[in-house]
Amino acid sequence: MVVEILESNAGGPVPRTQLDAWVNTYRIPVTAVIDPPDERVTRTLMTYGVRESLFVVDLRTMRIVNKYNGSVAGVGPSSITQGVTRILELLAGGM
Amino acid sequence: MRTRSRLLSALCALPVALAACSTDVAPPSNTTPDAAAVDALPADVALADLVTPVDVAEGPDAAPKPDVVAPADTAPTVGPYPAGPYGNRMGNVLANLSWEGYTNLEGSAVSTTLPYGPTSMQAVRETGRAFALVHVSEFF
Repeated sequence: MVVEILESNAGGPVPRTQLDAWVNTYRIPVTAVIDPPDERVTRTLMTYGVRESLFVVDLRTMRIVNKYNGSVAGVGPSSITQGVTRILELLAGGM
Repeated sequence: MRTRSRLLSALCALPVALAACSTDVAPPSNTTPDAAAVDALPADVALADLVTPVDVAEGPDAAPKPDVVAPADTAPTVGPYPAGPYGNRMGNVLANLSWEGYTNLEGSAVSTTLPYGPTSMQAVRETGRAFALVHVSEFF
């Protein structure tokens, strides 16, 4: 289960049009969401923190099993790249 | 009651059919004599066709059993969202946020081809999956 959250647009809320553009540009095939635009706040950014981070979450307890931070400058390995080995380990039944 | 008997036989025969998928497993000893008769039923006989109100009664004096009514809110049984304190560091409990967007569980299509609507971290829990990868991105 993968959830992609587009949590801000230049520090502000993200309209649906930008979510659509993002999904279409990168042909994202996983759950992709934004904060409810009517709330006009970046709740996810304030709660989960800045990009580019990946949380591996145990859905029974909602605990963050692992967290990976990628480069905000777009250089170096992404959070996904860093976490993929651990993810595969968890899916294979390891803890 | 013959109809009831046929239904019970069909249900009893199910484990036998499953066991038959393995060549090493002997049939259970409680195979009913009617199992073969059930196998002989035409394939297009629907299970509902075998059930009548008569099936409810266990005997001539037995009162009919009431239908089982599902609760009004029949959500998947993952329980309430874990309590806080919440945080965003390894070992913390991630907060339950609400969002809107595209829920895509299968990964077989670009998400904008799917319905747009509300969702939440609790809804993610209710998928029944073991783990979630939650990735945050921003536009600049």
